[in-house]
Amino acid sequence: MTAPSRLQALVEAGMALTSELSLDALLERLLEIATELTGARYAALGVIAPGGSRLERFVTHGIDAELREAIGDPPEGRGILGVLLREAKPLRLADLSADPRSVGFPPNHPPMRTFLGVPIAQRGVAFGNLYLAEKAGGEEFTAEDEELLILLAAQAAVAIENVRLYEAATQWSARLESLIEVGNALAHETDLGRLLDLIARRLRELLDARLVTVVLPAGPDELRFAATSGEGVEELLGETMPREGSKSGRVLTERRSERIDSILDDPDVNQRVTRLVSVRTGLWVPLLVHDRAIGVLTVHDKLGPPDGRFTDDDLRLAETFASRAAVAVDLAERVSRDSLRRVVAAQEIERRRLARELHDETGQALTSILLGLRALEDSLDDDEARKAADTLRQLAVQTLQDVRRLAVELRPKALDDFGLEPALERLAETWATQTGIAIDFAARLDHDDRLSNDIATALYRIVQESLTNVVKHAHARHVSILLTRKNDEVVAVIEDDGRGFDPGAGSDGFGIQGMRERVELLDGRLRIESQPGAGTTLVVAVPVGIEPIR
Amino acid sequence: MRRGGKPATMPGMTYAVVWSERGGPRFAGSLELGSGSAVLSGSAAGGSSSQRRLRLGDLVDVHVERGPSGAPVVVVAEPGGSRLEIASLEGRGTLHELVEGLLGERGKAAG
Repeated sequence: MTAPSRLQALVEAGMALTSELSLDALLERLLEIATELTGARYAALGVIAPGGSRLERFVTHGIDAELREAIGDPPEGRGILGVLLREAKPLRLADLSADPRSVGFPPNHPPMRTFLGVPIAQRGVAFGNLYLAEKAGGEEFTAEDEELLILLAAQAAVAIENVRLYEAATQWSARLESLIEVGNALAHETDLGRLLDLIARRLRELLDARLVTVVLPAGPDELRFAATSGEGVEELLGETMPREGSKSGRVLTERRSERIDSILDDPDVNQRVTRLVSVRTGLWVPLLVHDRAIGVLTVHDKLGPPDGRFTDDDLRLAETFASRAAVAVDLAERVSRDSLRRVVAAQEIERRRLARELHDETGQALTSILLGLRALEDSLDDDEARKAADTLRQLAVQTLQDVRRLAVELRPKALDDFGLEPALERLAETWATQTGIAIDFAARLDHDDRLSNDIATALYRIVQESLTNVVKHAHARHVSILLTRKNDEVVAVIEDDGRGFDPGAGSDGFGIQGMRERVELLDGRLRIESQPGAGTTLVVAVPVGIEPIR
Repeated sequence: MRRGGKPATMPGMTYAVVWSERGGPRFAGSLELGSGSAVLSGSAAGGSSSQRRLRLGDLVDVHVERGPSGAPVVVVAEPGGSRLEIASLEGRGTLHELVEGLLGERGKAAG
């Protein structure tokens, strides 16, 4: 090739390289051009791994796929290839095998004698090395070939940087689009399942992962799959697994992300779930709200690399999405709690109104009827008529008693008029009388203050429900109710000497579930201690919202 | 892995009740409504326990009347003359719900 035509070829090569937008396509085109320009039979490009001591990728031209497979693993950068790694300067050899630094070729490798290698550097940092072998006609590579290849390598360095920038920009654009989509969904979507599904799907696409899941706590001991994305994992949705003995449970407790490159070797991972979905690698990221972990995002098996491993960058992206998921979950919980709070409050308001109507209107009307019937009875001469009037009066008396009892059942007046202590004392007396169970009530609250209406009502209903459960299930002879103030909390303890039960044996009944909901609405805690044959103790602690008595 | 728990329905409901039989001891416990039967289980103040199954299809009568204290009670008459008075501890509404449940299951068992 003459000098002008080589120059022309080089210019055309540069333009061809810069038009490529995919790194893989660019590297293949580069090798093609290098062989065309120099007449080499074989060309290769080794991409240098971080650290600079070995090759992480080896692209070839002139060797077909069948031969490549027969040769086996690509070179890592020993021998002559290693010389270029270490010295980062052009190397031209007339006979590869004769060079003392050569380590030979693996079985099935085609013979190669003449050799030319040049580094590809970006801003002074080595990206890789370009290698040529077996110049046509058995000739040696010339100084002109070397100069041409150096120029080509410089053009390639620019093209490679452009492609990398383009790929990074595309990747960041896709990430930004996904984050904007998730952000918009957070503002408008009210269904938590759909929100988490969107987050899982977008993250899986961005990371090119095989599957993504979001697990949320389901009670104190279990985790529930709230969202899944990926093939073959639809059946996981809604399923639960024990928190104890799982990686997700550990991440939830320790509130720290983990990246596992070989799941089979990790003793913390729930192997049953792992076998069900056949995953090899994974990221576990906690959903954090004010340093509190409320769920875990998991990502498994990156599809690009043969080993399926995720990078630090992948972990950072997963953490970004986990923070969005945490906002979604927290928001849903707050909305749910607010709704429940409103429902409970509305329920109590309605009960209070009904109780007042019964007492003030129906009760008053019945009292008037009673008085009227008494007067009528006294005015009648006929025995039969007087007897009939008396029967009516008895019926009115019973109805009035029923109405008063109903009013108390709906909303005890003592709770509104005098506060929690007197109301509970009255409740304990009534239940003891009705059931024959000995019920002791003791309170140690500061009498200068009075509990807020919400707390008083919740504690009253919880004690009421506890007594119902004692009668239903405990076969107890004695119950004690203790109400105390400890620091900034009001604590109610209901203890019975009944037959006890195993709290871990089954899910909560509706009564206990209702108690838990009331307690959680007040940011309180509920604990049940029991074992078969040893009675039951229920402890409720609620932060105090004291209202001074006016 | 476990799926979610079953929803509560009637039968399957449990009520907190007190009951006695013709002036006998008063028991406090639960009435569990089943398909065709109801189980009363509880204990009395003296510590004695009781558990009895009512075969609803065999009941002679189920109705509401005033108990000794004037409050309404469910009266259940069994074959052989036994008569139970059952009061709900969960309010008037549940008493009527209980009656409906007993009559409903009794009807199914008899039919």
